[in-house]
Amino acid sequence: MNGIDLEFEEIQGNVLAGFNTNIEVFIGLTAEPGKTRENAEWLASLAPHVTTVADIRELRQAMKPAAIGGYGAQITWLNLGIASTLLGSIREDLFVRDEAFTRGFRKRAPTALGDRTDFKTWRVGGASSLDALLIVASNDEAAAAQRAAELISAAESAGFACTYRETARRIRDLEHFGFRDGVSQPLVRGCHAGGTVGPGYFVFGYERERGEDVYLPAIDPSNFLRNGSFMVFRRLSQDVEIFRSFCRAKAAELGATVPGLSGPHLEALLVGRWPSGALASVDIGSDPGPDPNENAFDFSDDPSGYACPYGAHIRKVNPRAGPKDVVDIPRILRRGIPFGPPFDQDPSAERGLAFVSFQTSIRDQLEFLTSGWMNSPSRPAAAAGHDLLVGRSTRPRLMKIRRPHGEIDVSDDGAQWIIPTGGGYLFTPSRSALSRLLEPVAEGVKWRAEKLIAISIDKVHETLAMLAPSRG
Amino acid sequence: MAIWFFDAPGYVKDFPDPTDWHDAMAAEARGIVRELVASVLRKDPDRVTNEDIIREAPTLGYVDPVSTPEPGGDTLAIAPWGAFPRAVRRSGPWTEFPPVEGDADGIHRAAEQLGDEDHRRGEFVDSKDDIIRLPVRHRQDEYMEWAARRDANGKLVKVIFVAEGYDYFSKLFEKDEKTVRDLYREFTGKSGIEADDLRAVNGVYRRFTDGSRQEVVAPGAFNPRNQLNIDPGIVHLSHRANSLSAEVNLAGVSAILRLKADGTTILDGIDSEELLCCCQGGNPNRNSDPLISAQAYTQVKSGYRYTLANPVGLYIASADHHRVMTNTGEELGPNWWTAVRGEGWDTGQSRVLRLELAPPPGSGLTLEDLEVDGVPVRFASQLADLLQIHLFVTRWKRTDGSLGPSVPCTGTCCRKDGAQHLLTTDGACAPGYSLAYPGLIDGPGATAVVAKVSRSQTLR
Repeated sequence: MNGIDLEFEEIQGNVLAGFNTNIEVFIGLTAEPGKTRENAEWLASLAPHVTTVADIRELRQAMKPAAIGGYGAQITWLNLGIASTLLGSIREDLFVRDEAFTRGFRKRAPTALGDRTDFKTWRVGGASSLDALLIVASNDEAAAAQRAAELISAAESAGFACTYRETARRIRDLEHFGFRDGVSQPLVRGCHAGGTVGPGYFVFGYERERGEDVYLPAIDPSNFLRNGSFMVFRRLSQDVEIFRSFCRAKAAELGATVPGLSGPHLEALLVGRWPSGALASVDIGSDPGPDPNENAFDFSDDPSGYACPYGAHIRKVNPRAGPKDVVDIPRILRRGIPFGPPFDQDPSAERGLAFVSFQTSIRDQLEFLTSGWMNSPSRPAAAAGHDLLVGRSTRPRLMKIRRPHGEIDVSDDGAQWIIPTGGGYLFTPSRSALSRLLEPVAEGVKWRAEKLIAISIDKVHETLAMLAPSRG
Repeated sequence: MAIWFFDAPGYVKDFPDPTDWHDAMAAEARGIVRELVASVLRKDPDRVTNEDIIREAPTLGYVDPVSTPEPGGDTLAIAPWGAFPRAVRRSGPWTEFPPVEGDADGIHRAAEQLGDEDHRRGEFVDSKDDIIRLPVRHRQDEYMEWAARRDANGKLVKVIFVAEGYDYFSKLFEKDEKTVRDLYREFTGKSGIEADDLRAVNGVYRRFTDGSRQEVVAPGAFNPRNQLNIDPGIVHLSHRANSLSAEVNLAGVSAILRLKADGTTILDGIDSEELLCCCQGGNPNRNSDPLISAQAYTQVKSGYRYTLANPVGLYIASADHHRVMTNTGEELGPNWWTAVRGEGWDTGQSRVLRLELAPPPGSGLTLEDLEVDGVPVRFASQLADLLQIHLFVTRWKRTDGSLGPSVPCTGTCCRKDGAQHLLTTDGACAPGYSLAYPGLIDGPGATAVVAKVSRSQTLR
């Protein structure tokens, strides 16, 4: 297909196919000191049980609930990720050259993601490190719960402590603010019909652009990364009441300058789409309903951001053919799912999004989208304003609604409707790489991270001296 | 009608007679219009008459604001582009630079490496054919370059970012050597610098591998590649493509609708790299040139005529403040940043040409006490990665509803096998390269007289 033969029986299914089940149980594991061998043995033993793309393709229909033609009940799927510290202590021959992954989520989050809540308060990956993450997926909650319990029990016998467990439930493809989520996903060449985005952006071992050499940010003599992917997990709590009341009040406040602006209309402008998925515009005040061509736009007819604001979330993370500050728009595969009950069922309960993305460069893809664009007031377009929906900033946040006669600032007035509550950066190995986790490492290729990273300033100076050509 | 006057970039006051700079820029604008008129009329630019210009200039997307001033107009900054070189990032990880703290994939050392790959393969010689070594910051090609200052212990204590085209200094040197000398003394800390130290006494030529030669600097003129700008540097940009004339050229060739080989007008469905390959206005492997061109072209498609706003320049637009903190978790206050030349830092309308980042006096800190994205700072380019560059245009909405004339693509691009690197071409590709956009032109030699401003006549 398209000249690319992806090894679907190797690649974990949540990466390219997505689970898209109604239930996903997230299990966070923390390695106990001195138990690396037991950890590795158990993780390797899961190789036959992780769900691959091929498995999902075979079982997708069967996974569906009986009511819509499937067998659903007994099937569970498994996705597994391992964080850098644990992976590095097991595979001494592997040195990953992605500082986001090697430094880890907790270190990067305050700057690269803007998550500056006290990590000790995080639900996951804070006080206890997130060394491995399991996602158990099913359309049957009891089956998922039982499988999760079995895995946790086995993990605890293998030197792990279960420090996070959460059941996430899909709400008719909506996130908690009421908008359809996952409307626009990159279609991967060699995997999805009509795919145009190179698989190498999401899975190691393949080209990113046509004809380009394989991207491999690692010293990896045992080819461990092949068919794997970096997973980003970010737990984002959502305060629906604050979001809606803010939009209602702000719309009323701006009514004089944007006649007819309502709370739901402002919500849509912050998102860039209406709850139905239709593209939002300043000039259209109500949801036009589902659009069968909901992704057939590129902002080339709205270069000034008069219709859909530059700061609208969907425009921030994918400016398409509109103004932008880099030629290459980073793409990620998003596999998030809501946690917590719908707002209408229990307004006081905690809820949010278990954000999951897959990519081959955390720095250049997810972090760039987050830090470079969502959290920036001036990118990707000039004077874009912030992404008020999800963007983070310690400075006052403003989104601009641009009208031909001038700009209208929409300040968040300090309101916070997204609260970061932890996460992790992990590597999702292929099935065979997972099975080879304990394969002996040749002495000559042991890298040990500290040998490479903990170099002295003298070494930096030696390097700098090498950079300058000799004079004369 | 208001008289248009070109101020020096960033409103700096270097020229004893500001008219000298105005005249240079006015000549650039006239040259652009002449080239565009030539392309519309399919004429050799030397054969374009004044009558041709009077008749055709008002139809063009590019406005010569001195010769044909327009009333009103609105001035806006185009979307900024990332100052860290796109080609360097895209080529990572760099196997020749093993992982070290602050630079796991080698991109930061690669960006700071000196060399002369900004010119076609060959070597520099003088008029006597003696080889001269003139390495510059040859990978910092997004219209911003930087230099590090370290203390006696080798700690990084200051980074200086510059966005001033070297051709501005060449012009200034022509008129006032002493001011250039003084700027060099100020920005290098070397009080003994004389004008002759900045001069290419015997000229600079590029001798290519086939033995042919091309003049780079005329004998006796200002040498933009002089090594005082590199070490201790930095005074102005050094990369061959980081010039004001390149900016003007790019704005010019982007100001006219383009036709593909099949005669269809390029309006939508073309990405910024392909558009740049069509108009041949710069290097498609950067962030800057394709994005500048695409945004300028968008003005044309949207029914505007434009010119580069006064004062014409490339400016350090903004910084990702949120990505950098001290290692104790504090954000940098505004007293860490100093705009040394230019004005308006951190206002969204920045016209800053020279920017310094250093710990506030008395803080007891160095830049190595900072972390960018959680990674300790060891290299100046980690901090360069925080910055963006932009420029301003002034535009006027056409009143007749037209979009102006259209001309064929000037060329296309070849793509290096196994990589994404593009080379502009008139249709022929060298071994190891394949045609990237075959639909833009008919084939080699198909583009005789079209809009391509080959070289500035006034800024060198």
